[in-house]
This record gives sequence, C-alpha cells and structure tokens, in this order.
Amino acid sequence: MSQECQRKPDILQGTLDLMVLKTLAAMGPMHGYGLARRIEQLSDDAMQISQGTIYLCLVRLVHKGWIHAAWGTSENNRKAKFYSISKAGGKQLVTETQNWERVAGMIGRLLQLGTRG
Amino acid sequence: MLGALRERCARIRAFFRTSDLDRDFDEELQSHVAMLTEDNVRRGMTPEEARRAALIRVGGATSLRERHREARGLPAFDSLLQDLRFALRLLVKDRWFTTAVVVALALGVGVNTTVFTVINGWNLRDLPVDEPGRLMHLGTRDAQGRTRGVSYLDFLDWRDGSRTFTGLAAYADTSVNLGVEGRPADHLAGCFVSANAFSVLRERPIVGRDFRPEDDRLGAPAVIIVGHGVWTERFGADPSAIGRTIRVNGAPATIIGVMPLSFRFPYLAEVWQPLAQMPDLAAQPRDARAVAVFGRLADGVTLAQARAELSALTTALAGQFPATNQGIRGTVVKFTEQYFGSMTDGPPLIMMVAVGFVLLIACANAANLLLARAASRAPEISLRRALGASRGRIVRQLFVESLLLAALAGVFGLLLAWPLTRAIARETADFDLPYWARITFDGRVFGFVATICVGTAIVFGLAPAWKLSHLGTAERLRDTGRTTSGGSRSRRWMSGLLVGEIALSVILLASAGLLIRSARMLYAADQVIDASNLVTARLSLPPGKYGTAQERIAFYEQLELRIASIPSIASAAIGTALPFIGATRRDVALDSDLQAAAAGTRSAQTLAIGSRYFETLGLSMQRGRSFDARDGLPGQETAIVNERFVTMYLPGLDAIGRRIRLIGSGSTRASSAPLTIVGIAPTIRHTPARDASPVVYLPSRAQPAATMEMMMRSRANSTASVSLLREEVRTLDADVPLYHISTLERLSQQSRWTQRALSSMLGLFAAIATLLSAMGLYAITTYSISRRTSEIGIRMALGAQRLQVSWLFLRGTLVHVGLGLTIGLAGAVAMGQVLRGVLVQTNALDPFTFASVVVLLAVVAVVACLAPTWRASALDPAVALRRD
Repeated sequence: MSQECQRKPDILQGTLDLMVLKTLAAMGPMHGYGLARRIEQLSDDAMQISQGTIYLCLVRLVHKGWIHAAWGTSENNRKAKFYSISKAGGKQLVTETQNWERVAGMIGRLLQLGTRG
Repeated sequence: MLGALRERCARIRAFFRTSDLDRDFDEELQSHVAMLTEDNVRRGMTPEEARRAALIRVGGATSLRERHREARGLPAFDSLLQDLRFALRLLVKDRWFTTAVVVALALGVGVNTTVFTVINGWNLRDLPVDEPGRLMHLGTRDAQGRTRGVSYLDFLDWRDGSRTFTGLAAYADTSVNLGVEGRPADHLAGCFVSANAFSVLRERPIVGRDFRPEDDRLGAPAVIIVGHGVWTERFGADPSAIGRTIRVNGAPATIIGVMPLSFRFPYLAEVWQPLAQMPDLAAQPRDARAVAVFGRLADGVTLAQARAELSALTTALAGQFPATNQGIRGTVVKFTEQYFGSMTDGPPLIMMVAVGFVLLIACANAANLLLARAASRAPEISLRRALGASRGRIVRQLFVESLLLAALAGVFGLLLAWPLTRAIARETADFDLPYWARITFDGRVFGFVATICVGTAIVFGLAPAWKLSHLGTAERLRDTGRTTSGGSRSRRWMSGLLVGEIALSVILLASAGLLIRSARMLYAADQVIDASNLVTARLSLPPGKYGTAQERIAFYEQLELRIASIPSIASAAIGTALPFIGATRRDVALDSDLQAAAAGTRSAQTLAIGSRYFETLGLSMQRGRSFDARDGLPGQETAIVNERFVTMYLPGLDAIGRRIRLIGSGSTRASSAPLTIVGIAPTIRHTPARDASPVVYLPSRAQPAATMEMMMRSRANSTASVSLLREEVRTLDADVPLYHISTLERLSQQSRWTQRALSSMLGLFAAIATLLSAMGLYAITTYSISRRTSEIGIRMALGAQRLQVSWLFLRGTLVHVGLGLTIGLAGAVAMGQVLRGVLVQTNALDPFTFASVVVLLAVVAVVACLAPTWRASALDPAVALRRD
C-alpha cells in the first residue's frame, strides 16, 4: 500500500525524482519504459525495483507541474505516453542538483574528516 | 506553497476521474509490458517466457493500479468510499436487519423532527426585521405574579430612565372600522404605536413617510399608516393614496405611509396610528396598564443588564407612587417569547421530553439489534483484524454502517414528519397566529435532522462497534457464533438497554394516559353546552358616535330587538366574552369579609352578558333567575355567579341574596357598589385549555363595552343567518362592521387545541414506544434462542416439556420487564409533576391510569417474548442438535 513509498527512505524518492528530471532534460521526451531502461543502465542495474514503480514517481511529478505527459508513438510504432520536462521542472532540476551537490560535498568532506581522525 | 496547492487541486481532479485515469494507466502499463516483452524476445527468450519475465519485472498490475491511484488521488477519501460501498452491500444483504433498524430510527427521527418543526416555527422563529434577536418585550407582573401591561405614564418614565435600550417604543393592539369613500366599513386589526416604533424595528414605509414625534402629540391632526394589503385592496396600490383622508372609527384621518408587504407588527395589524390617538390616553392613571413596550437592546448590553436596570426603575417608581405601583415588577423577554412563551416550560417542554424518550428507545432498539448481529459478524471482523486491519479501521467501518443506517432513517423520518407537520399547520391555520410564526421545513430543521442522525449513529453505533473491535482476534476466529459463552457481556448490555426501553415506555404511556384523560375531562365539561347551530361574531361601536354608556345601551337594545324578530333565529345574546375564551379576572370581596385583609385572596372572572345569554347557550339556571331588562339599572345592582364560585367561596351557604363587591385592579383597590346575587349559573369554562374557574356575570347594562361578542342560535342553516345578522347591523349603523365570525363549536375546539394536540401526540409517541419495545423484546428473545438452540435440543431430548422450555426463556425476560416497569413507574410519578401544570381535573398520580399502563405493558411484553419462545419449543430435538 502507500506505506511502501514512505517506508523506503525518502532519499530514494528524491533520488528517483532527480534521475527522472535529469534524464528527461538530457535526452528529451521519453516514455516510461525508456526511462526505466535508461535509469537501470545508468545505475548499473543497482536499482532493482519493479519497473512499474517509475509510474508512481511520474504521476507525482506531473501533478507538481515539473513534467508534461502526452500520448504519442514509439520508435517501433507502438502507442506510448511520452514525458517531457517543463519550465518549472527545469528550475526544479537546477535547485535539486545544487542541493544534491551541496549534500554530496558535505558528506564527502565529512567522510574525509573521518579517515584523517 | 503554490506547488502544494496545485498538487492538491490535481489530486481532487484525479479523484473524480478515477475510472478514466485507471484506463489510461492500464494502457500505459500494457504498452510498457509489450515493449519489454519485445526486448526480451530480442534477447533470445521464447515469446511466452518473454511475456512472463516482463510481467514479473513490471510488478503486479492490481497493486500498481492501487498505488497509482494513491499517488495521484485522495487515498483517505478512497477508503471511505470503499467503506461506504461495503456497508451498502451489507445493508442490502441483511434486508430484515436493515428494515428493523431503519424503521425504529425513522420513527424516532420523524417524531423529533415534527416537534422541532413546530417549536421552530412558533418558539424559535424571529420577527422578520433586522437583528430580531435584540428586540425585547417589556411588561410587568403584579404582586400576585399575574402578567400585566404597562401604563402610559410608567412607559414615559422607563423611556426617560433607560440606558440599556437604543430605543423604547410602546404599542397597543386595537381594532378599527375603516371607511373608504364608496365602500362599506371594514373591520381590521390595528395598532397604536409610539412615533419611534418603526425606527426601533428598523423598518420604514415603502411609500410616504414614517410617523414623526409631532404626529404623536395630543391634538395633532389624525394620521394613519396602512399596510400593504389595505393599500393594494382598497387603493389599487396607487401611490396617490398618500394624503387621502379615510374614516377611522368614524373620524377622518390622513394616510401618510404604506408599510412593506408582509409587515404586520406586532401580530396581524393592518393599520397603525400614533399612540396619542389612543382614546383617553392622557387621562389614563398609572394603574391603567393598557400599553405594551418593546425595545432594542443597545450594543454590548446583555439581557441580564437590561433586566437589572428595569428592576431598578420599577422599584424607584414603586417608591415614588406606592398607591399604584406597589409590588409591580418589570419583565424583559425576547419579543417573540411573550406570545408563545418560553420553549422550556409547559407544552413545548413536555413534547420535547416525550420525543426525546422515543428517540432514546429507538436508539436502544437499534443498538440491541446491532449487538445481536455482532455475534454473527464476529468471524468476519476477526478475519479482518488477523489480516492486519487496525482497530480504528474496524471501528470506522462499523461506524460508517451505523451512519448509513441513521442517514436512511433521517430520510424516512423526514418523509414521516412532512404529513404530520402539514396536519398541524392546517389545523392551526385559522388560529390567527402572529405573522412571523410559520411551520415550514427551513434550514434549521434540516440542520436539526442532520444533527440527530449523526447523534443517534454515535449513540447506537459507536458502543457496539468499539466492543466488537475490542475482543482479541484468536478467540473471535474460534467463536463461530454458536457457543453460548463469550456473549454474556453483550447480553448484559442488551438486557440493560431493554430495561431502559421498557422504563421509558412506561413513562410515555402513563403521561399519554393522563393527558388523554385530561383532554376528555375538558371535552366532557364543554358538552353541557349544546354548541350546534351557534354562530358567533364580534362587533365594535366606533368611539366617536357611541361615546356614552347610554348610546351604547341603546344600540344593543335595538339590536337585540331586531334579531329577536328574525324568524330563523331562535335566540341571540351579547356578552363581553364568549364561553371557552378568556375573560378578565378581578378580585372579589364577599359582604361578610369587606373589612377583612383577606379580601385579595378571592378572584373571579367577570363578564357582562345580555339577558338571554344562558338561554341562547341552552342552559337553565341552577337556582335563582337570569337577568331581565331591569338588571343594571340604578338600584338594581345585581350579579349571577356560577356554581364553582359557590363551591369555592360560599360552601354550604345560600348564595342567593348575598352581596359581593368587585375590587379594582389598581393598588387603591376601589371597590364597586355591592352587587346582589340573583342567580346561580351552571359552570362553564371561560378559560382556554384550562379548568373552569369562578365567574361573576354582570348585566350588560351595567358594563356596556364598546366591543361585544354576539352569539345566536339559528333554527336551520347558520350561514344564512350570518348574512341576516349582517343586514340588521348595517341597517342600524353602516359604520358598525361584524367580524370574527365563527361558531361556538369551532371556538370550543380551538380553545381545547393545546390539550387535544398534546394528548393525541403523546398517545402517538407512547404507541410508537410500546411498539418499539415489543420489537426489541421480540428480537432479543429470538436472538437468545438462536444462541441456545443446541441447549434446547439437549433439554428436549432429555424429556423437557414445551412449557418448561418456554418458561426457561420467559423467566429471564419477566425479570427484566418487572425491573423496567418499576423504574418506569418511578419516572412516571416524576413526569406527573411536570404535567401537573397542564392537567385538567386529573390526578397526576391517577391510580387507574398507572395500573392500566402496567397491565398493558406486561401483556405486550409477555406476548412479544412468548411468540418466539413457543416456536422454539416446537423444535424437533434432532434438528436442533444438528443445526450448527
């Protein structure tokens, strides 16, 4: 049930959001399957979640207005829903990236501190 | 912030498009699976393998759809809808259970709604003016606690001394004969008002102008403001009516304004004149309390402060004018309350208590049915608990079921209340109730129904729900509803509720019995008068033309002569009051105690009557004679008293020939000339809805009032005689209209209405209560038999007789019934004290009524319990044992 999303660390949700936004910004409009494949490849198949979960993330991003969805035709002539990043999504990506870099930098420095001590 | 709002909106939109979006998502998933399958095939899998692997990789479609819905919609609302759908299915499945609960609750809600609608229409409805809640009525009470008006001089002092009101205005009801050029005189209800009255109400004329202070001075030119009805009917809604002169009680007056449609302040007035036009206003002494006062509370002033201030003012006036104001206290109540009284005493209170009891019984009944069903629900609930449903979730599910039942009951209750309130509205349509009082279903009534539905759902549903969710899962799973143990706690609950139901039924039945008895007494007492073919009417002599007693006496004498000459009229008489309707009450002194200080303790209603008053009513004197033409002449100061007067004030004495005096209402206590009693009349009621009281009848010649009631007994068709009478009056004087035409039978009914309504409503409520209790008893016995079927089988197999088996169940029930009857009787005695104020010639502890109630309920209880028991004892032991 809905608990599952919340029970898995929120970091995962945030990470998935960021991955989706970044992928869409970099590669242009994509359908859900393509996104799932792309993210799996990028993470070296480390993210072994059921592929359907990506849609829970997508519908949330659509509601937030960060991405748009529209039906279209896939490369092998199949009907599929294509997602593209919106202006607000672009802004969000910038903030999220900065956020991520700040946190990553902070954690990195912290870990370096640890090895010295 | 904006994003959150946007997301909320998107979620609400998504919630309402659930099925569309579900289909959309399904399609998307399908295309996803198809693409993955293709890729898998490309990797070398067989098509079946590829598809299987793809489905696993994507995840369960049902669960995904569910989670997708949660991610995009309103999950809390979704599960509530689920609960609702489930509850609805269950209620449809358990049709008999649903019907029983809904019928019980609908009866409870229906009677409550009916009573509330009437109380709302009469006691709670406000005047249709701005901020009506701050309009107060000011009056006085005398040393004996009787309600009195306010004297004009006192009003002036109150007005000058008061700081808690933004304005104090005076008014006095009147009736006017209105003559418009080219039309016969009409009689209308009117009102004298002080010049500021409309501005205190915050109302103003739609045409013309309001009264000005200079209009309200002695000797000012006569002006009048007319109502919308008068303006449209008599002047065709022509604005040029302003400035026209009409004849008001025979004297000319100029129309200066027209009030808006549906403004009929204070009750049903159609024309308004300045208070200064009130006859003899300037000459009125301080103890002629002929006006009423109202005012608007100033901002921030509480009712208590206003009362304190008025109390200080009246105390000061009593010190200043002890002769007239000793013992006079001021009263302040909400304006509408002075007409219908407070809703917390008398009939409204009795009605509310009664319907409250009915609702409690209905709730107990519903709770019992739910508890009984809980036994069969237990396995289902335990399964849900075992599958991880939280306790709160279970309680919510069960509460939704109760709420649904209550909502159904609310709908049917409204359907039940509709014809009942219509009937009451119809019956009271000709009661001349104030213009603001109206019995309708308004927002407040619907709010009330919604509140009691939720309230009842909480009362009858929450406790069983909590209990059911409370027990551990393991034991519940084991208990498949057939064992007799484990249910003892809920059986104790059920027995307690049953005892309560029976006790409340006893109270209702006893109250209904007393009220019905009282209404019958009142009805029987009225039957001494043969009211058939008795037409009544009222006439008012214009003060200008008939200023002296001599002129009025002459008019009435001529009128009596003329009516006597109409062949179709058997008898006719005038009087200042008709039977059944109120007459003024005055203190009386007997010749034996003229000096005694106790003189004020005797009082009697006084009315002046024509010589054929009793003959027209079809009554003959108990002793002595009735009045003749000479009574009332100087030297012939005579009076007739009724039988009740004799039994109360002159017991065992010969009343004929004794002398009495009437004491003035003022503190000077001026007494009349001694009156010699010449006759004793049978007791008839001159009080609405109350027992008859002592009456002193005076000859009309001694008190020729300007307004007189008429009654005449026609030999045949009474409608024809009305027009004949109208003709006679018109020939005598075209300026004297006849109005308030009715029949004595109708007046008798109207004056008994409160008693009749109370007794028939309580009879209905008591019948419902008894029915519900019987239903409850039947259901519980049936339930306890179903729990003990195997026990019955064993007992029968071991040789128990039918009677013995029946007794097994009857015994327990009889204990509960006995307990309920005892508690109920104690409650009925207490309720009798509340009823005492409205009972007429009925003992509040009437043993016959109480005994019949006990017997009736006992019989009903035994029958309700015996029916299922007897059926159970007829079971074949073999079948009973195998049943579970």
